[in-house]
Amino acid sequence: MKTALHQWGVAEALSQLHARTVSAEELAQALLDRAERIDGQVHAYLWRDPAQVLRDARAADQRRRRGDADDLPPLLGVPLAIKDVMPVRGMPTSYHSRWASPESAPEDAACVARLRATGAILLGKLSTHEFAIGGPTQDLPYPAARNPWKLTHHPGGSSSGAAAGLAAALFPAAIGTDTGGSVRGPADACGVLGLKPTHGDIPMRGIRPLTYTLDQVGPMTRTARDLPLILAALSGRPMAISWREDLRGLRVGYLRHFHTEDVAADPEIAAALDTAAQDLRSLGADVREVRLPALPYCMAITGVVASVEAWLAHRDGLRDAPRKYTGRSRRRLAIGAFLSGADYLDAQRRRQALKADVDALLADCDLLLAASSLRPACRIDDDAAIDASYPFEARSPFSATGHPALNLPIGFTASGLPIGAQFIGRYRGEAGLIASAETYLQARWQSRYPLFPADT
Amino acid sequence: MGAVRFGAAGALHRGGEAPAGTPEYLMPEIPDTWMQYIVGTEKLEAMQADFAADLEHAATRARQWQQRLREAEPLPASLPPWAPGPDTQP
Repeated sequence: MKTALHQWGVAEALSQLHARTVSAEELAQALLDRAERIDGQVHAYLWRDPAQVLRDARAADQRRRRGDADDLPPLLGVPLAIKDVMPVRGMPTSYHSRWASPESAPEDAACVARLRATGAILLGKLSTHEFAIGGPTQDLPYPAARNPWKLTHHPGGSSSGAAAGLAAALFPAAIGTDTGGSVRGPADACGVLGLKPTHGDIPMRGIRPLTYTLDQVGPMTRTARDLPLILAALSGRPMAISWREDLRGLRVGYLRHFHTEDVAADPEIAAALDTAAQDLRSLGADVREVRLPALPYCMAITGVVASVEAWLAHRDGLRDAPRKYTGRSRRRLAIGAFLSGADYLDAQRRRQALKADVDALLADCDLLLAASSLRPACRIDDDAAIDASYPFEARSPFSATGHPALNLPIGFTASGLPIGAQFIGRYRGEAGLIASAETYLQARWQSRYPLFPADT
Repeated sequence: MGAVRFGAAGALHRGGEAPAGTPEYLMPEIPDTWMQYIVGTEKLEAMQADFAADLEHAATRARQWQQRLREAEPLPASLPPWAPGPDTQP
């Protein structure tokens, strides 16, 4: 069956652009048209300028016509969208906040400049939790993104528009940020892939910090094959992936105690994780259970570090104009006000110890398998459920340790909401994570898209 | 200006001791001045109703994490805090 143009991933789009079966302008126009039809329900975008997008796409087409095919930038004409906490030249940066300035950014964040240099077409700015920490509340200045699988439900966050827009096929890839799980969490909730790369591999220059030692930029896509294309552009280093037919010889450490002993996962999620472990075995991997310190302890390390640093980043704003923040942001940002310098240093020492624990596991394993979210997405209008959802995740330990961590889809609940899992690897071990994810997804996953009335 | 403390029901109280029933986690380590610091003394009256619930929520979470770390196994005395290494520099 022929794939609709809006469902193309990055690799497919590049292949068609190279073959000149489609132009960058046609591709961008199709995605802009789709956003026009659908984004009023999904609210993935906070800002887009179709006229500028089409000018950029036409320029890409001209360059392709003029240039030597071997000498063209690697993502020439590929449309991407950017979480609205990263400055993009010529576009405003809102942080999804009343603090937004209507002025356009004078220059790109460093990672955005890298994408632009590879020829990517920047479609627009995407919905986020306020300052990448708040959440969907009634007091946001713009509508919060919705989960395309159930528009009444939370798409996760804080890179909410990136995940929601990918699942709704509004673009083939998006760029998010991940401090305690903000790329992986929405990827889990929306059934797409989200990678938090090795700490420090992608420059944060030009991006207003939420925290100073945890923030990371990460790519989000619908296929594993697309991830290295975007990651290479962001990191500035080419990626060589050894794609594989099976997983024979792969040693997988399964952190099952996180969701069975430490914090009980929803039964459907726990069952899906066990099935994924079994699927990895059936593909030839040697899967065995391994242990880290208890999940709530690991989460507390990240929580203390993130909270103190976020409080430092926002205390002047909270003091001067607290009402400009949403209530959920105030509640989350103020946590750091109650923690001491000793608490912070203690957490940073424990972070060092936890990193050593993960390194020790990865000395004997090629990757770790862990839960991502421990509960399926909740309703977006249920404030209590959203507040209660924060401790039900297993992502933040690897935010603290800096290891690359990839959320990939592994199933759906009976009610039709996505379930994800994480693969965690050694520092700079992204290629292995992506290759293993691709093998698993090829064998056990079939791409599905939420249906919108405009699709029928 | 007198001390500012949380009460058990989430209301802010000025001066004196916290009322009976105030959870232990809210009492000993909340500096009297933190609320003034956050919103500025002159804005305190106007803000306290809104902020009491937000800040009690924040204090509760902070206390939970603090407790988890304090109750954990001690670390080797020589272990330094985490810091970005040469392999994690942007």
